[in-house]
Amino acid sequence: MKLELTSITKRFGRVTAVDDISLQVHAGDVFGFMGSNGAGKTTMIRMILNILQPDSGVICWKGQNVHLVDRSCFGYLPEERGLYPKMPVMDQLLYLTQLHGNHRPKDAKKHIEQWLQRLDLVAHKRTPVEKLSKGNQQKVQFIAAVAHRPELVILDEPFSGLDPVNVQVLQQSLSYLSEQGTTLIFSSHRLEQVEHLCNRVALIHRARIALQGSIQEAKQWAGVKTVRLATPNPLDFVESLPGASIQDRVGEMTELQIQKGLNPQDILRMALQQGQVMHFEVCELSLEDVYLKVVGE
Amino acid sequence: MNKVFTIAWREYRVRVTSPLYVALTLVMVALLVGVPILVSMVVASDALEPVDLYVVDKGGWVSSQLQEQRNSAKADQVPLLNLRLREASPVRFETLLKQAEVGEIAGILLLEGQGAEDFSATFFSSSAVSLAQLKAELQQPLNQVVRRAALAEHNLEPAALQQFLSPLQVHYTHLGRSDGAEKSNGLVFIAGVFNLLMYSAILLYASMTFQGVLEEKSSRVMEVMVAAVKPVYLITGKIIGIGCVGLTQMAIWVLPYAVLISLPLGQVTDALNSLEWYVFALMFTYFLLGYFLYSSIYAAVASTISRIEDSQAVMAPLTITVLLGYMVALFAFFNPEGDMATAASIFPLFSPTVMLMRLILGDPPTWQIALSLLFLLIATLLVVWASGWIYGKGVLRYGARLRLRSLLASSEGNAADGKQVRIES
Repeated sequence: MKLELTSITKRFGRVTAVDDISLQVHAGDVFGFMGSNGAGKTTMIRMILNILQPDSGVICWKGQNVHLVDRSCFGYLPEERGLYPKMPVMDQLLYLTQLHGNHRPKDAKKHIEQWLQRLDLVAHKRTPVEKLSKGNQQKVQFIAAVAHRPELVILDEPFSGLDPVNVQVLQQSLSYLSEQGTTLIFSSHRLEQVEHLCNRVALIHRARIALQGSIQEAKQWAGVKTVRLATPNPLDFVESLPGASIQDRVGEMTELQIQKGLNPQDILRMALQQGQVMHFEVCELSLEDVYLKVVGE
Repeated sequence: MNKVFTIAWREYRVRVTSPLYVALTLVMVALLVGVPILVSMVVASDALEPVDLYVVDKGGWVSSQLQEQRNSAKADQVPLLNLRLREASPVRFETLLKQAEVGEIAGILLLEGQGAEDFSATFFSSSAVSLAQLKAELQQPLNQVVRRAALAEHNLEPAALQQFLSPLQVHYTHLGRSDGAEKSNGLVFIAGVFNLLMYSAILLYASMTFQGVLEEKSSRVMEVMVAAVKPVYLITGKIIGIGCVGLTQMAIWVLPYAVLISLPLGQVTDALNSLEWYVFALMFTYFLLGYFLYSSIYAAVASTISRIEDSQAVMAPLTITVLLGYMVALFAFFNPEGDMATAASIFPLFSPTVMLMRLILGDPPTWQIALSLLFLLIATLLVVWASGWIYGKGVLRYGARLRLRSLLASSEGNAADGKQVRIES
C-alpha cells in the first residue's frame, strides 16, 4: 500500500528536470514536497499522475504501474489553476467528478454538497466560476480534486494565493482527508505549513532528492542544533569550542549553533561559570533552516 | 466510452443552451422562412393586380393575332404579371399618352405599319420597371405574329409555315437510368445542394470545434482534464459534442426551409423520388463521416497550438484544404465518371462529396463505394487518434516550455546568488 518511485529520470531536451529520483510514500502519509522553483516538483507530480511519462524508471501505486491505475484513484490540484469560466459551480464539479470517477450522479452530488458545506460555498452553487473571488475559485478547484473520493490526492502549491482564513480552512480540510485515510502529497514553499501538516517530507534540489524522511529526520539531517542563551556576560569561551559558533547576538540573547558531538549542557555549565544565565533553550533547526542550508550549499 | 459521452454531452449542452446560440438559430430561422414568404406575398399581391395595356393598332392587323398568340402561349408558362390588353382607336392616342405620362394608365403599345416590312412597335410607359416587364411579356408573341405575316407575304404553304415557327424539340436521355431524362436536371440540383451543404457545414462549424479544442488551454483547465481522462477521449468527446451542435442548428435551419422550397420544385421532387433508398442512406453516411473527418482535422490542428492568438496562422492552410475539396467536387460534378472523379471519390478528404456526385449523377461500382467508405472511416479514426496524441503532447510541450524556462532561470539565479554570497564573505 504505497506509492513507489524507482530511479525516475525525466529530461526536456538538454535539461534534466528529474534526475534519478527514488521515493516512497506510504498509504496514509501526509507527504510534503519541498524545493525551489524549477527544482522538479511539478514534473514529478505530473509523472505520478501519468500526464508525463518518465524517460526511465518506474512509478507504482499499490504495486501497479501508474499508467494502468484507474484515474479515479487520484485527485489533483494543479499549480496552474483553471476551471470552465462560464460553468456554474455545481455543474462544473458534477462534470469533473463524473469524469474522474465512476460515481452515480446522485452519489457525486452528495459528496459535492458535503464539500461545499465544509468550505462554505453553498451559497455559490449556481454561480458561474468566473464570478467567484479568487479564493473561492481555489476552493472549488480543491473540491474538484477530492470530491470523487480518491485514494491519493496530490496538491501542487495548494496554499498559494489564499488569505489566512482560507489557509486555515484548507488545512482543516487536509487534516480531515488524512483522518479519512486519504494519502496526501503536496508541494509548498510555505515550510511552516509543511512542518505543521506533514509527517514525511522530501526536499528536491536541482532535480535530485536532497533529503527525505520523517519531519524529525529531516530536522536532524544537518546534524546541528541551535542553543539560545540569555546572559549579561560575554561568551568568549565559545570561540575555543570546536563545533560551536555564535550565529547572532541581540542584547543579552545569544544564538549558537552546535555540531552533533557537542553536548548543549556543557555550554550551559560553562556559561554558568561566567555568571548568571537567565534563559537557556535547545532547539532543533526549523524546516526552513534545513531548507536554506540545503539550497544554499 | 462513458467518459467520451460525458464530455460530448457537456460540450453539446453548454453550447446549445447558450443564449447567443438560441438567438442566432431563431433569427436565422426567421430570416430563412420569413424572407421567402414575404417575397412570395409581395409577388403574389402584384400578380393579382391586373395591369391594363392600351394597344393602339394603326395598321389594324396585329392586335387580334397578338391576343390569340398570347392565349395559346399562356397555357405552358407562368405569367410574370396579370396583363390585360385593351384595344384603343388611334384617335385616342394623344389622350392616352398624357394619361401614361402621369401614371394613370400602365402603358401604351403603339403598333404601326401595314405589313411585316414596315412594321414597328413602340411601348410607352412612365415606369422603367413596367417597361421591362412589358418587354418580357410581349416581345416573344409580337415576334411570332410579325414573322408569320412576313412568311405569309412570301406565299409559304401553311404546313411549311408551321415548320418554321414551331420550336425545336431536343430530347435528353440519361443512359443507365430507367426513368429517363426528365429528372436529370433535378439530380444535378440535388448534387449541387449536397456539395454546398457539406462545405458550408464544414466552414461554419469546424471552426467551432477548433475554438472548443483551444478552450481548455486558454482557461487552463487542461491539466485537470488530462489527469482525469485520456486526451484522445477528450478530443473525441469534443468532436462529437460540438459536431452535434452544428448538426442541430443545421437541421433547425434546413428542415423548414426544405419544406418551404420543395413545394414548387416539381423536377427536384421527381428526382428525389427517383433515387433509391440506399442513396439516401449513403448521402447521410457520407455527410456525417465527411463532416466529422473535417471537424477532427480542425481539432488536430487546434491541438498543435496553445494560444488563441496563434490560431490565425494555422487557419489558412485549413481553409485552403476545404476550398480544394470544394473545387474537386465541382470538377466531379461536371465529369462524374472521369479518372479524377474516380480517384477523388476514394480519397478520404474528397470522397464524401465526390462519391455522392457519382452516386447521384453516375453509376459507381459497389466495391469503390465500399472502399471509399472504409478509407473515410479509417481516416476519421486516425485523425481523431492523432489529434488526441498531439493534444497530449501539446499539453506537455506547453508545460515543458514553461518548465524549461523556469528551470534555466532558476539555475542561473542560484548560480548568481552563490557568487554574491562568496563576494560578501
